[in-house]
Amino acid sequence: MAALLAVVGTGLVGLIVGPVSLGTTAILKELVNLLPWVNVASGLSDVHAGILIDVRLPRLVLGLLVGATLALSGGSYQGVFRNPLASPWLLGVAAGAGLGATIAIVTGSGQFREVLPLAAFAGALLGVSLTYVMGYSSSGRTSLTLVLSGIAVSSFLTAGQTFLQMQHSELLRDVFSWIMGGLTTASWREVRLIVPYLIISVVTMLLYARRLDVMSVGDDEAESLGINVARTRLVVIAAASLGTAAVVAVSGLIGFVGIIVPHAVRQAVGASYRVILPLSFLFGGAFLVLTDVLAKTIVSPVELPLGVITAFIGAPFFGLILHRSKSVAP
Amino acid sequence: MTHLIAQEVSVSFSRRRVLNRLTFEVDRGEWLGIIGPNGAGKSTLLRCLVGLVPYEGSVQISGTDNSEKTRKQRAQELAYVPQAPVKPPGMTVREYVALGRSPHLGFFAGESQHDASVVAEVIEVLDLATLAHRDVATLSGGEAQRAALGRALAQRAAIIILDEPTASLDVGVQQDVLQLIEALRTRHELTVITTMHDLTTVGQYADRLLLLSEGSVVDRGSATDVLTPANIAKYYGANVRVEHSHTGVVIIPVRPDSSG
Repeated sequence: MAALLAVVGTGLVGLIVGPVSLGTTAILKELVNLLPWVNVASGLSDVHAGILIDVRLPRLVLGLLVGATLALSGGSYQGVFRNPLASPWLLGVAAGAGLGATIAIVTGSGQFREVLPLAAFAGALLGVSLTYVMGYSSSGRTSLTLVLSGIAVSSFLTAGQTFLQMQHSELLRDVFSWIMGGLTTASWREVRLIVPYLIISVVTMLLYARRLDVMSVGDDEAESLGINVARTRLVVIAAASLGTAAVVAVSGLIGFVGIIVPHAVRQAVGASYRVILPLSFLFGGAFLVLTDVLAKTIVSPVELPLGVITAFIGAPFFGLILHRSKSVAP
Repeated sequence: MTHLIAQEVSVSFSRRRVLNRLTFEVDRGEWLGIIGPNGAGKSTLLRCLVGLVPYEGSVQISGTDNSEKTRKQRAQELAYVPQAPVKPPGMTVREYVALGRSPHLGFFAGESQHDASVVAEVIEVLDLATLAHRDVATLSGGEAQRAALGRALAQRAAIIILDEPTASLDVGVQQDVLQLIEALRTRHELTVITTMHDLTTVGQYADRLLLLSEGSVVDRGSATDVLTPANIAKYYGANVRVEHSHTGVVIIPVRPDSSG
């Protein structure tokens, strides 16, 4: 309940705050207008209504989706790897997306904005697939082999990205502004682009929450309780990576959300993923929208990259949680 | 009546034979104690019965081969408590016990009324009510073993497999846990298979023993038959005196006489 309130509350703040003042009541009326068969005069001019419906609303929706998916994916990764520090970036998603985006920027001349999401998405999926293929040892795919393989793949892809950047140092600014993440280019197009992937990813993760609870007692015991550990791990990693890849493609690399939100939720409600995952989803959305408001206002009219804000808020907040928590290891 | 049959069971790890063509049976309601020196293959044998390691040969429960069953079906017949169960921090004892219902839940289903009542009953039987909301990670050794038994019982499996259930427990707590297992066995008509390194406890509680050495069965039978000074000297390299009481066999290690 509190989570839903947080979403609605931050959502309203997200719509209200912006360079042009629109008035809270007018915004609410205009929103009601969106409902079918409702027609109330909001008093907004066409231009202002346009700002609300085509600029702020898609940005809000995209922010909710990005934050919710990152937090949910982070929570799922933490369940699969039984480690509270596992982030959605762990298995090469970020490095792959970074390389994909860099390739799009250096080869696409001025037109890269069109192909960048696709290239980042493809790179992210390539990164995590490489990790999965490589992370196999005689004892199968364990959490450890996957994490180690993720480190190797990430380093390799990041090296590729650095190499490209050095060849095209004039484009460093574009690359970095993408990497730091943000929602400045948000439109309904981006929302439509990622929603299908998010539906698959989010529904799968929520359905597997109960299995993650069982997995928390370790591979052997989970197996003895009737869980197909290898398949569960594959499905959850695939779903979380798909969702992460989709949001990274439209928002860049926004760090920390995937770690702090599920961790804070876990501190508040306990160890059951059946509770942690849905709540992380809601609070993740609210958290990112709030961060986006700060990004828009702190040094207005300049917008700060979202990744900078999440790290600025996230790191101290994370420290506070660590300081207050009795135990960290799951 | 025979409950579990293992036939010609062999396990190899990277071409090294760890278990070598083991054949044995366990009757319904029986307590089988698996003993043997370190590295004899006791834990591997248990993991094999649970289906956690690939093996050759066959394991049958109630007449059907384990390999023909899904993981869930296997988990409904056979509960397993490893030597050091994982205790996830933040998880309450009740949630932990409820994990035992997992093999009975459908793909989309959550816990039903029936599952909740099974969990409640188990919590009462094991006297876990005062601990139900405690974090499992904070439990003492004996409490944790009781919670693990609770999870196994919640599986409602007819066979319970326990790997060293009393390892690292104080002697008083050891007795409590073993008395509890014995009481549960009678109450729920369970078949119990345990490994134990303490020969006196196994001699007091198990109906029948299987002595393993280097992956093979080297002796089997009642405690009186198997726990002889000769066997213990041969396979454990230990000098012991064996005494018999009405509750079973007592093994007393004796310092080897070096004067003669």
